[in-house]
Formats: sequence, C-alpha cells, structure tokens
Amino acid sequence: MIDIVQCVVTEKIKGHGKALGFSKVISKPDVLIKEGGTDAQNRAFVSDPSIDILMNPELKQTKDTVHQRRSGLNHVLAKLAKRHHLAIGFGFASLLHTKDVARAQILGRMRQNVRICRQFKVPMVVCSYASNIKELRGAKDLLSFARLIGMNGSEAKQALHWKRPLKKIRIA
Amino acid sequence: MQKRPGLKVIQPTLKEKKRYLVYSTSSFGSSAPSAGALQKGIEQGMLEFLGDNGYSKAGIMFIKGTGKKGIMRIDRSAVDDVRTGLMTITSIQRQPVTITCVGLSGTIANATKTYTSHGGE
Repeated sequence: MIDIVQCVVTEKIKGHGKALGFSKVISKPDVLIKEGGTDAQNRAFVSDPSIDILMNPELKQTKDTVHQRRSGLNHVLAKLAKRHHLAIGFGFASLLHTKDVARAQILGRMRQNVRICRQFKVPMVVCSYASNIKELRGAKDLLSFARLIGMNGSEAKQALHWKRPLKKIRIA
Repeated sequence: MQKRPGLKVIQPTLKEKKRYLVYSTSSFGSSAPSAGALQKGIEQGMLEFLGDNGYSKAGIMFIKGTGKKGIMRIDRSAVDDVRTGLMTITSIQRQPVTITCVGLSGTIANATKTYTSHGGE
C-alpha cells in the first residue's frame, strides 16, 4: 500500500510509514498534486493532463444547497478527470484539522464525491496527506476510512495502491 | 427448585455481534498518558466523532489496558466507524498522541494474544 503526504519524505517518515503498513510513502516531487479550490480552479485542474491527483476538491467550497452538497465535483468534471487520467484524492488530514459541523460537512461531501467517481469510473486515492509525522495513519485504518466514506472493499484497496497510469507515462 | 435471581439470559441470536479491537498509542517522545486518561480521551474522541447515537450503536466497552495499549469490545457493524474515530484523536491531556488499531478478533483469547505479543502487561 502507498501513502501520499504533504511534507518532505525523510528517512524517519519512511520508517514510520513502514511500521504503519505502507510499502512506500511518496510526496509532491514524485506525484503532481493540486489541492481543491473554487469551481473554476477545479475545472482548470481536471482539464490539465499533467496533473496526477486533485486532492480534496470539497475543501474550499461554498455553502451546501438544498438539493445537493457543494462537493467540488460534478459529472462534467468527473468526465474530464477520467479523460485526462486524473485521480481524485481523499486526504484524511482535512478531517484532523476540522471539528464538529465542519468535519461532518466534509465527510458528507467526500461521500458524494465517492458516488460521483464510482459512476464515472474515475480513479480514487485515499491517503493520510500528512503535513508532519504525527499525522500519518495506519494502512488498515485508512482502509476503514475508505469504507466509511462509501467505497466497497475492492475500491478501497485500489484507492491505497495509486500508480501513475501507463498512458500518462507514454505521453510524458 | 430455587428461582435464579434476575432476568434470564437472552437468546444467542439476539445478542450483539462483537469484535475485540486491540489498539496501541504513539506519543512521539512525550510521556504516555495514564490508563484512565487514555480511556477517557478515547471516550471523548469517539463521542465527538460518532455522536451520542453512533456511540450507543457501536457498543464500546473497555476490557483492559494501560497507557500504551488496550483492548476494547465493539459491535461488528461499527468497526470501520470506530477505527476511523480512533484516527481522529490527536491529543490526550494536551499531549500529542496517535492511536492505531493493532488487531481485530472475534474472541477475547486471540485478542489477548495480539495484545501480549505487542509488548503488553
């Protein structure tokens, strides 16, 4: 299983990651990640084929509406992400930095994004997205988190085994 | 024949389906919390994450433990919720701490084996 973090991967973090059950801990130089922003920014990110992962598209969204949550993704963005071989990332660190209603909102938005990604067969990635060693979490615990936000067993396992798609490597 | 005091034990099919979760903590250099403080911290954290209703459905019960590891009993259907809830706990008594699930078992004997082999009491 592979974990993706925000911080620089030192030997200490690699060792801690191995103890937590990950075969590899990777960070920004190895994988090109863009964090979710406004609707316009998210659209620009999923249209860019050089980006590997759009992390937490639900974070900087406006208030939820009556008929749907503002989760940062819709069917148009999902189709674009699929076309450009982009994965949608669900970083656990966003839950650690929020509390109460804000945390519940983010969880709900993640669930909606999982449903959208499943419908349009967009690759999903679950990771700790830690900014320091204390935010790293166990591999099997992240598997439980993936199931909690609505992935089934095989989806959850695949989400922890991210690999750059071969088509993208050939294009590069 | 004398009547047994109290209610009769409920039928096995009506009992909760339980799992024993073995957890351990990492304190990152600072001192490990006491057993009581760790238990209270986990209770608070789980209540915050699951809410009153979710906590009641999870059926959390602490079987044994120290400040560094422990065993708790949870409901089978709430395993993912409880594991995720444990991940959200970042500090106990203002000391940074991370709680990981080390093992999950259907029997307390197996759970105790995992607990002991992890360097428990």
